[in-house]
Formats: sequence, C-alpha cells, structure tokens
Amino acid sequence: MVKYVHTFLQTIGRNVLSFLPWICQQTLELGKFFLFLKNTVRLIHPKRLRYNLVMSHLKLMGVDSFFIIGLTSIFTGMVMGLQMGRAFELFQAETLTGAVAAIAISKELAPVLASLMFTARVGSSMAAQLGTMRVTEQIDAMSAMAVNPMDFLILPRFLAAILILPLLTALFDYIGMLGAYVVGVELLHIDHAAFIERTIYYMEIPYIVEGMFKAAFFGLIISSVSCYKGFYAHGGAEGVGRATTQSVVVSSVCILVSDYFLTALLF
Amino acid sequence: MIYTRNLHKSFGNQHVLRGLDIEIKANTITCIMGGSGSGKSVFMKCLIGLLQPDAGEIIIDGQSIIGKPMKVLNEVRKKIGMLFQDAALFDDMNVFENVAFPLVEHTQTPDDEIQDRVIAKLQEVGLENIEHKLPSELSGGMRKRVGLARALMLDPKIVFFDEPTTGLDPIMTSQIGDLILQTHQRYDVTFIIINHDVNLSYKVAEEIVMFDQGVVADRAAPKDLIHSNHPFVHKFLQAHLEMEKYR
Repeated sequence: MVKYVHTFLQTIGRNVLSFLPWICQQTLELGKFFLFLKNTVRLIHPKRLRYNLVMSHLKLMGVDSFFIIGLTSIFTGMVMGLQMGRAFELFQAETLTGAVAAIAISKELAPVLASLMFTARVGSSMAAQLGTMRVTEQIDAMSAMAVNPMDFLILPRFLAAILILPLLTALFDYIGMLGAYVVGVELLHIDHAAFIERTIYYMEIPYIVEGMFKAAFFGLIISSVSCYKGFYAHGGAEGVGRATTQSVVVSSVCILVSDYFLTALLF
Repeated sequence: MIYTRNLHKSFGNQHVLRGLDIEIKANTITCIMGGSGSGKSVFMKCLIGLLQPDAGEIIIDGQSIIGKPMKVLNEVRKKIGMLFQDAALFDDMNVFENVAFPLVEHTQTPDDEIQDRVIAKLQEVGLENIEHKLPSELSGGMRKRVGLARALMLDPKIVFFDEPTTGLDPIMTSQIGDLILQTHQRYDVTFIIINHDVNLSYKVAEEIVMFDQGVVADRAAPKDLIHSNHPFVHKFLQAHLEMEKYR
C-alpha cells in the first residue's frame, strides 16, 4: 500500500515538475508582453505622434475591413431576426424581434464578432508584416538608422486599431439591425410600425456606447498582441507563420475571455 | 575611429564573443572574415547598438556607446551607415522612399532637395529611373546598390557592410567590389566589411581581420595574411586556394 502511495506521489511530483519550465516561460513571456505594452503607451505624445501614419493605418484597417464586417453583420442580423422572430411567434410577441436583435447586436454580437473578424483580417496581417520585417532585418535597419521602430511601426497601428474598431462596430450595429429588419418585416411579415416602435422603445444609446467601448478595448488587445507577436518573431518563414497563428489565437481567446469580465464588471 | 576592448557576448550557454579587442583606423577599408559562428555579425550588431555586450567597451568616433541612453546611441548611429545582408529595404516603400528615409527622418530638407539628392545618390551607385519601383521588383544586385545609396544618404563617417556579395553572381560580386572602391575614393569614410568572400577582401581591403571563436585570430594587410602562422587563418586561406584550383 505504502509503495503504491509512494509511486502515486512520485508521478504527481514528476508531472508538476515537468510543467514548471513551461510555467516559468509563459510568465516571462507575459512580463515581456506587458513591458512592450507599457513602452508603447509611454510613446503616446501629441508632439511625437506620426499622424500621417495613423491616418494611413486607419484607412487600411477601416476601408479594407468594410466588406468583411458588412458581410458578417448583415448575416448575423438576418439570422438574429429569423431566430428571434420564430421564437417570439410561439407566444405572439414577434413585434419584440427588432428590439431583442438590436440589444443583442449592439451590446454583444457587434463588438465581439467585429473584433474576431478584425483579428482575422487585420491582426494576422499586422503580425505577418512585422514578423517579415523582423526576420528580413528591416526592423534592425530602422534601428540602425536611429529611428525608433516602436514609434514608427507599433504606435500608429496600436492607435489606429483602438480608434477604428468602435467605428466598425457601429457599422456592424447599423447593418446588423438592417438585416434583422429585412428578415423580420419582409420575410416573417412582422408589422413594420410595431417592429420599429418596439425597437426604439427598448433600445437605448448606452447599449451602443457599451458595445463601442468594448470594441476599443478589443482593439487594444488585437493590436498589442499582434504587434508583439510580429515584432518578436524569429526563425525565418516558419517563425512568421507561427507568430501570425499565435496572434490570431491569443487575440481571439483574449477577446472572448475579456468580454465576459468587461460585461460582468462594468456593464 | 572604432575601438573595442575585452568585448564579451553570450547567448545562453553559447559564448560568442570572448574578449574581443580590435582597433579600426579612420578612412580605411577593413574586411572582417571568419568561419560561420565566429562572431562577426554579433560583433557588428554590438557596434551599432542592436545588441548589448555582456562586458567590455566600445568607442566609436571618441564616444563610448555602452550603457548610454538611446538619445546618445542614436547620435552615434547617425554617423554610421549600414548595408544589411539582403539590403533590408522596406517592402512597403518604393526605392525613392527607401533612399530618402534617413533624410526625411533626421533632417528638415525640403522635398525638392530630397528629390535631387536621392536621384544623385542613386546615380552614384549606378542606378537610374528606378525610383518608383518596389524592392520586390529589383534584382539582388540592384537591392544591394539601393541599400548602399540609403546607407550613404546622411554622409556617414562609417559604413558597415554585412556580407555584401552573398547570393550574387561573380560578375555582380566584382561590380560591387568596384562600387565599394569607387565610393570609398569619393568619400572620406571608414568601411568595415564582414564577409566570407576572400576574393572580395583581397580586392578591396587595406586590412583583413580574421575572427576565430569570438576573438581576433590574426590581422594583416591582404598580401601579408597569407603568411599567417595562426592555424585557423592558414586553414581558411588554404581551403580557399584549393577551391581556386578547380576554377
């Protein structure tokens, strides 16, 4: 009996010990990430900000994400209209379809889905571009020319993502609600006036602001994680691929986890 | 011009630079050669402040750069031009923007003057009418030339070349050698060239420094290096001569 307990404890001890280096490595990585974030935030200063680069990234991130965000939002709104309409039909409350869809979209679906699409579309591109610049020594070349790469490459992307994601979320709200309206009124034949009236009655501006605030926070997560992964990429093409994948996975998980805590703590 | 004393740099258990002492005189062309992993690139990255040495001293143009704030380091960096192995041109900028980059970032030069200076610098390295091309549209030799034009843009006192002929055919290698000599004659600059190419080193160098296991194995003028008694230098040059026999 004693022998079995001994072996059991040994197995547990060995497993715990085998995890220690991994835990240490992850802790170090986390510390390095927060240092990177701190150094980025410290650079924010109106005099040294490169407004032309921020504008150029705003255009790239915003205009180029327009189609994918529009497509996601219209179908999300349509499926919300369909599901809610059918469910409310069961107890003759189908006029609430618009209100429920609008609240769900503005508070949760728009910031989360827009951010996830933004991660796939923009976050991956940021990580890949910066990673390629790292492995081809372009970032070293910038440092060697006495130009701070954090200033030139990271900060404009960081600010642009935080600024543009709330706007894309507002766009998602608008198109998503339009999708719900089309399905609810045109397909399920819910009364137009009742649909609109109920939506206006239950919907409040703070719901939209809440969604946009969340989106700004998700923008911070996406840009900092993607820039960090790309900036410290190593190991040639394989390293760039790894950094890109990790940036999408880590950003997506962080968005979903932080969404719960933001909702629970702030709203 | 450049002086290092007892320079050490390790990566984990790998001790790359093991007490490197070197002095490079102003306005000379010095080639640094050595086997793979002998610490040449690490040495150059330490000189330009991309890596911090674990111990030792680096003095460039009378200014120590170890432990100095970024502002001081950047002032020293402005005196240095660097041509990276694959030129490290910025992919999202065209040739003009790449070459103009140091001027735009560090000077208040008017746009029309930048235009003239970029075109003049590109002509000096033998390139014309490629200002609007992207780096991906250039051949390896052209990329190196654009990289050299960019490195020379602020009229630096020192220019580092990291393996300037790697990946180029023999004709282009010879042309790059000529370009290095012509540029050196045109400007009063110190050229430090890190490479494996013995032919290029013998063509352009006033002095060759051989690295072995993180220290200077030997240094001499090209014609004297062949008489080196150091086993690694002897072996390195013999291997090159053997390869030459088959040509």
